[in-house]
Amino acid sequence: MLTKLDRLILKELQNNFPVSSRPFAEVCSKFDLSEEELIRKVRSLKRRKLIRYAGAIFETKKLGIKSTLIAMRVPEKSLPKVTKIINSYSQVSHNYLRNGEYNIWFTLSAGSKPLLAALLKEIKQKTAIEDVLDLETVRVFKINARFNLKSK
Amino acid sequence: MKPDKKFILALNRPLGIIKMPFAPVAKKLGWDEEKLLKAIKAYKNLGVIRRLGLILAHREIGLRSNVLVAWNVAKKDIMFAAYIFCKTEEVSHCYQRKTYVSWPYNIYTMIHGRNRRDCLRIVKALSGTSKIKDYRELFTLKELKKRKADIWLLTR
Repeated sequence: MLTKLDRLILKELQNNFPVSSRPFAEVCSKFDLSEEELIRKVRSLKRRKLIRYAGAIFETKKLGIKSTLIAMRVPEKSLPKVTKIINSYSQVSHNYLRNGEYNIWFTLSAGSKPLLAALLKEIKQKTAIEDVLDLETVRVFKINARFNLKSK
Repeated sequence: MKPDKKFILALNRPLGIIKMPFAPVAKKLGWDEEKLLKAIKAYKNLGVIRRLGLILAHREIGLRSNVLVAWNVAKKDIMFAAYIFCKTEEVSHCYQRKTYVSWPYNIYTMIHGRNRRDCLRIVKALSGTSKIKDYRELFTLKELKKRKADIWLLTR
C-alpha cells in the first residue's frame, strides 16, 4: 500500500517541513520530483487518510492551558449516560473506554487550574461517579507522536 | 512569551497542500508572508509550536494497535525507567503522574505496535530491561471521543 517513495515523503515532511514560502519546491528534488508532482503525491496521501493533519501543533502548556488525565470507575450500566455527559464538554478532547477497574479515561483542559478543578467537580456531580482519579502530570519525559517509517 | 490570539487562531487550522501554504494564512492575518514565516520560526524555536508539518495517521501507516501502560516505579528508579522507555521508538509518550492509594502507578507510556501481540511483546521487553514488574496494560476497547482541542476556546 505504501511505496518506498511514499514513506520517504511522509518521513521528510513529518520531520522537516520547511517553513518557507514554497516548502514543496524546497524539498522536491530530494525525491526526484517536480514541485507539482510532490504536491500531487501529498494530496493523494491525504485523500487516502495516511495524513491526519497538515499544519502546526501548539504546545498547549506554553499557551497557558492546563490539562489533566482523568480516570473513572464507571459501572457497565451507566456507561452510555456517563459517556454522553463527558463527551458533551468541548474541554474534553480524548475519551477512551479501557480494560481494568478504571474503565473511562479522558483528557480535560481549561484556561487555568481553578477552572480545571471546577470543571472536574461539575463532571463528577453530573455523572454521579464517586471513584475518580485526577492524574495530574508531574513530569513530561517524552511527547512525540512522530512515527518512524521503516522503508520495507 | 505567548503569541497573540489572532496568530494562534490562524495557525490552528489545517494548511492547504498548495504551492504557497503560508500565503493564505498571512493574508488572513493582514501580515506579509515574510513576517509570518519569521514568527512561525521564532515560536517553533521557543517550543510554543511543538511541531509543524504532516501529522500521520498511525493506524494507516501500519501501527494498528496501541496500549497505554501504567507502571509502578519506585522513586529512586524513575529516571532509569524513564530513560529506558524514552529511548524506545515504539513509545510515543512518557509521563509521570500523580498517584493514589487505589492506583499506585506513576509512570505512563503510550506504546504503538502493528497489532496487540506486537504491543504485548514490546511491553514485556520494556519490563525486562527496566526491571519494573508491576504494571497495567490499558488497551483501548473503544474510542469514545478524539478530536483536536479547541485552543481558541481554552485560551480565551
